[in-house]
Amino acid sequence: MLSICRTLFFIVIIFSTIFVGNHYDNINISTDLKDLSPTLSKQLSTQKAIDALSKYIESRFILIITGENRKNLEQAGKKLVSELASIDNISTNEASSDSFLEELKTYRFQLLSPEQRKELQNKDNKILIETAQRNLFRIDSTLQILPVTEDPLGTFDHYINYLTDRNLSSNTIHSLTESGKTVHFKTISIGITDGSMEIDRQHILMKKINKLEKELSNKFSIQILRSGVFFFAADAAEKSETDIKLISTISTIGIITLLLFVFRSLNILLLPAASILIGIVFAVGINHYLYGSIHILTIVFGASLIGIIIDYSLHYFYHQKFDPNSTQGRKYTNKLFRAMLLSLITSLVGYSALSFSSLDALKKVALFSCCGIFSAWLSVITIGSLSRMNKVTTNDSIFSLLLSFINSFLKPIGNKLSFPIWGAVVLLGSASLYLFGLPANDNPRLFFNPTEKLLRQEKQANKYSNNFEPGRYIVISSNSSEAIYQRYDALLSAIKPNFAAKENDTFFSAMQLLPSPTQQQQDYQLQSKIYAKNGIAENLFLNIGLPPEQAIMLNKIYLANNNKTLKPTILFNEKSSLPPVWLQNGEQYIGFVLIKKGVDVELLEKAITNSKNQLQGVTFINTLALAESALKEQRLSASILLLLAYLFIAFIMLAYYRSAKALWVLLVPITATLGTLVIFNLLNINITLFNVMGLFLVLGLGMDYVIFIKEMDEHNFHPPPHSQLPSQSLPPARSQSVTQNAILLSTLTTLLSFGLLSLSSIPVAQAFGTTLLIGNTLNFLGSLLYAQLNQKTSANKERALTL
Amino acid sequence: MKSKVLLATAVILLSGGTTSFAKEDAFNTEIKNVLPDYCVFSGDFTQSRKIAALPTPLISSGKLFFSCQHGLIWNNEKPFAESLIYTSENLHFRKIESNDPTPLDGQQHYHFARFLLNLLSADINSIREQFSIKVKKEVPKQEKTSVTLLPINNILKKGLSSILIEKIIQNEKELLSIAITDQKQQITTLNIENIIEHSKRKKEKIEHDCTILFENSAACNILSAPQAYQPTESNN
Repeated sequence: MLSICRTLFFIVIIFSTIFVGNHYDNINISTDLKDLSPTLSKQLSTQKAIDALSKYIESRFILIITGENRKNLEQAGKKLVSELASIDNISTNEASSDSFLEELKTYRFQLLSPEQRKELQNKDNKILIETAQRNLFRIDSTLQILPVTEDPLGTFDHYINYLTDRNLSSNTIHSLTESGKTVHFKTISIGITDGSMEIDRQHILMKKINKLEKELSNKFSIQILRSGVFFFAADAAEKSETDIKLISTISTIGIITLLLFVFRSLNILLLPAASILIGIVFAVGINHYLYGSIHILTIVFGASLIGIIIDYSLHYFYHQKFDPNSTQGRKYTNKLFRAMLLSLITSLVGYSALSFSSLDALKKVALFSCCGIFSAWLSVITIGSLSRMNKVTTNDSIFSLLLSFINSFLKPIGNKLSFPIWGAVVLLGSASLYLFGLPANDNPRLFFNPTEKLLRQEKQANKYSNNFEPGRYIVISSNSSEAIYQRYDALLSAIKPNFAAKENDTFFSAMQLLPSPTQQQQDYQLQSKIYAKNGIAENLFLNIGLPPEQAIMLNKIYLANNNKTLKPTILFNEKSSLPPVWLQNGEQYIGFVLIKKGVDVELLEKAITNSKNQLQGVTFINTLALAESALKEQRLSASILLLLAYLFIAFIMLAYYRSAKALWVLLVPITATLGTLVIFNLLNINITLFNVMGLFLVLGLGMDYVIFIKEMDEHNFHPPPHSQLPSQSLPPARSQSVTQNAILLSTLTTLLSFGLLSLSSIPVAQAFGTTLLIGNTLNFLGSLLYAQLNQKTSANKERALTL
Repeated sequence: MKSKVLLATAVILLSGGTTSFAKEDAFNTEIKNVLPDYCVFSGDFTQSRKIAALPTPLISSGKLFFSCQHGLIWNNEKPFAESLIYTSENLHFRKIESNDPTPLDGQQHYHFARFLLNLLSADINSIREQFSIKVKKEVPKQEKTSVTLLPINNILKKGLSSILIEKIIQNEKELLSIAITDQKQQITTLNIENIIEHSKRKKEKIEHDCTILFENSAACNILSAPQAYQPTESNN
């Protein structure tokens, strides 16, 4: 067993060393809020599309400059764009449009705006030639992109204007008059090409934006409003960083003080320090290799993991009071290792249960914690003996006093209680909770706690930006792009009877901006009216005196561009600065239909739901409602999973001890779990998914304590039937005192870490911290009660034997 | 010694600041010199457009009426009769003969209308928002002043390369010439002459002058009350 541990420890050390060597100066810290969002769609393709849109949203943010002076506004805008564009991974919409326009020109024979299409279909050549001729003399045709020799009717110009007018990220200055006061504003859309959710990039960008805001506000008397997920992620990251510093500093100082107080030796710090270091480095390394970065929430949890990891060292020291070379000492050490192994298994069961959550953040926390706990445990088992060179002495006087005090309170309960009665109370309590239920909260908004300032800015920014309904849109999916257009048409027909608003006032979609592949071919054919021999171009050129060669040349270009199709993926790429409302995943095509603000979304959703049968592949997405229902589903399945985890641990206990009475150990974590839920109810705390997830750790830690009580309480120690160990008999009071002292110290370190986590400004971390703070206190009290009952049962048994 | 250095530094800094202010003033003066200084005026225009591959330019002509409060009527008479009405309320229309006016929506019209209105009302601050100014380093002649504008706005940049504005005084008469060069280096020149200043005091008087000029009140009505010509919302 020890040789396997040593081999594994060696692997852990090699891996950690390689990781530190490669990444000591370049660890990517992710702040992605998406990791905290549950899966919204059961359909993989739809979820992929939602993820892609979320990624786009994460990689863009909007700065709105407002002010009373247009000139100042324009100058501030120019300065802001040029300064931000100097940052490596930043792209502004101003920079991206020119090359895109060049690309679009090559598809001009396939593109017509709806208005132009109608004109070409309905008007005869004579009228169209006259209109084109009139246009040549018009003052406003000066701005035409292509000259008359290339675009005689200005169709391409029309199409570009049609696109520009519908694009979200226009750079024009707009005005808004409110209570007689006119405010001008300009929207600047910024794209972050990569690393938008990496903390280092965020730091650079936020520093620059803050500096520019200060500088430009003073210089031009303007205000800069911020809008976008990027700012929320940066805000959460800032809070997380503060939390990490607070938790790791205070818990490290607290733990060192406690250890020095109890063990009164600096040497004693070496083993816990080594186990924490190895545990954390290994956990960070595994996470980093698997996910390419380490999530900031994982680090927050990592900081609190210190309190758990250190437990192995504490138990190790506390139970090293015998000479390790003596027979008694060796046997005692074997028992300790078994207890530590059981404790490790139960902790791993508790933490690994977090990976069943659909939230990526919790999966990462599960992996991090399991790796950290396992490698710390390996460290203690493998190198623990080195720390035993100096004899360990403990200063237990205060702890013993504290334990006597707590035990004196528990004694009256212990005297009246027995394991069967305790079991009955727990069953009754569980049944009551099941029957009456507990108030829960699955609102995803509770999981983010942005600053008031940020929320206010977002609200103000929404007032100025002609934006879309946040979190509500329609997804149309199919296996051909043509079918997406057909399904979109079906959607329009389905909502028409109940929905009065105009299409362009309601939606923003690829289907409005780009003609379908079939339509593009029809548009090409339609334009033969212009470019064919004796067509509009030829006659127009003749009328205005252009040489006939011009029309022949244009006809050749037209014919050469036959069979071309502008694919939506080209139009909605990064260069266009258009949002990715079209996605292609292999053979799967997805079109997003964004809903404009002010549209009656409830009515729209109802209209779509009512026509569900006619609208194949059309899904109305309400991210908030979906997230709420997904979180509820997660919470309920986590509760069932918690029950299964108890059953699994019960099975391990039965298999290990081969006695049904071993199941009494489960009373400690069950009572702590029930107690935590009751206290939550009394404190009016509604249960969230994260509280339930915290209860898995309550189970793990509760089992930790009670296993040590059971295993290390010498008086009650009976080796399992398969063990070759003979029964031992040592003074029970001493053994109990050592174990309980170790558990008290372990509880204090855990409470210190999780207590600090409960003060976190991140609601998820706070929920875990509060659950663990209450649950683990109850675990500790339960363990002491278990020890009393165990002692009472053994005494009764002995008395019966004596009689 | 120390005080002398400080004094010299102060003088250099001050002179630098003064130079920069002087430059700004020079820009303003240059533009002001070429732009009309009337709030309400009318005139005759000739538009000449040079198209590559076309041996002779396309010529059109007509009348214009401008009010800094209301906007512009650009009334083409030859070879086609139609009016373009750009209003200060950012509502723009095209009216062809007796047909109903067609609203001109979209950013392209918005920008072009803003450009023309800013230019004719000599709104220097607004011009500076859309253009940078290039001043020719040549000895100014008394009878001709000119300035070149380069677009900075993306939408204008798509179509425009530069705008040369010249004010020419001939026989005590003022001629305003605006030469717009597009991205294909085709030049459209607008010559505005016979400029007559109108009273800006009363709205009724402005409307009256407008109606007399065009012998038709339709375009003038649109100019004074554009909201009434906005199409009513119809359901899809």
